[in-house]
Amino acid sequence: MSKGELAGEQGPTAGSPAAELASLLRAVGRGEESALATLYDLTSPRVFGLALRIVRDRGIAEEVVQEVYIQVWRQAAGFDPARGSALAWLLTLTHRRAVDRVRSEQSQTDRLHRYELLERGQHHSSAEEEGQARIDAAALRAALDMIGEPHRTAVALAYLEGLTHREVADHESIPLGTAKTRIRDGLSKLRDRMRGGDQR
Amino acid sequence: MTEDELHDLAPLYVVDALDADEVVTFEDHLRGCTSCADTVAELSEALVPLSEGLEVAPPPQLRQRVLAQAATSATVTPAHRTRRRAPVWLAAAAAAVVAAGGAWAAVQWLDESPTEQVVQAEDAQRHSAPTDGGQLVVVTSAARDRAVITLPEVVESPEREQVYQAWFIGEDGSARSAGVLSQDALEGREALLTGSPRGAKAVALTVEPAGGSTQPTQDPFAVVPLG
Repeated sequence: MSKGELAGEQGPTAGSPAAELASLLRAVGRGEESALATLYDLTSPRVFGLALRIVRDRGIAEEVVQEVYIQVWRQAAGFDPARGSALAWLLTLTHRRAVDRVRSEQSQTDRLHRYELLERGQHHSSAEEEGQARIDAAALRAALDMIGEPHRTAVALAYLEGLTHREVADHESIPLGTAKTRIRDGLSKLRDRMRGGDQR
Repeated sequence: MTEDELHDLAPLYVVDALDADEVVTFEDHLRGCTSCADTVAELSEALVPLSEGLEVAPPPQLRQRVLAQAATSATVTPAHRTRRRAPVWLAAAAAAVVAAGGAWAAVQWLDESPTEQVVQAEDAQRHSAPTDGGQLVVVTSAARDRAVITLPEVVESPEREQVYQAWFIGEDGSARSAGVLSQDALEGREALLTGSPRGAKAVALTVEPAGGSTQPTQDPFAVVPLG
């Protein structure tokens, strides 16, 4: 039972994509603009995709992307690869900014309503959104489904819809403590899955 | 909130499911809790698969906008600066840098820097005063209970063995130290002030001996009225 060791725990393997991103971030931290450009090329579809999934508005998602890379530019010298992967850091920054935008610009009711439409597959006001929804349905659900209910919904509402734990509790008509526990247990399952990633 | 209750906030923090005031509470705890720092790092990593398959190519013009903005923004971290704007202010406040840099390393998973949080806060208020070198700006956020100072483009350097120190000035004229401006702040032109802006009617800058003073020893050379 020595599976507890994370692949990334000793830092990324040299030559791996994770090592490449980490080394790019170090170069960005030294003020190298070409490194920022390369980092952007390698990661912006992921950053834009996550932002778009949360804010559901291309204009706002673009603003989030711009803010994220400027923040990376300004703060990359503080990044320590021993404390986590470059991609996780980027996505963390992205998620926070996207959620901030969602909370400031859309009412809770709108977000909940949208989530329900998405769950029923009825939120297709354009071909683009339809394509987006199909992507959500496939890859994303694979990652989410391994969490299992009732944790899956709690994690999805929080991570992908930007709900607070209080809003998750309201939406699911469950006590606040239960909502917290479901999110916490859902994340634990994801983490355990990652630790045992070689079994996938 | 008990220690256990604080630890329990970590997973909610990672998915940004905490209310704004809880974020402030948890981050205060996180700065001093290695166990929570580990949890936050691990869970942030575990969330990475949730955005797999969501990739969408951003419009090509966005790349240009990002790179153009980067070309005109100073980096704010102190390490290995090679080609950023030469410091206009003298490196007299170097002693204060250590604390700021150390905090970053320990709390990489903290939210965007506390400075960004204040500037980006929904209730952020911008106050400014003209100086010879340009606008001196203070941004306050009641929700974050903090203030950020942004220095003008060009400022006179402090003398050797001297530093610039910021002060919150109360209604009654009393001064409360808001911290010595670090080398980082001088180069990045931006700093999170120490302590709460609550009750302050102005932010003032004075020249003080290296290490700073507990009360101002000179008249301020710049004052930004708040509100």
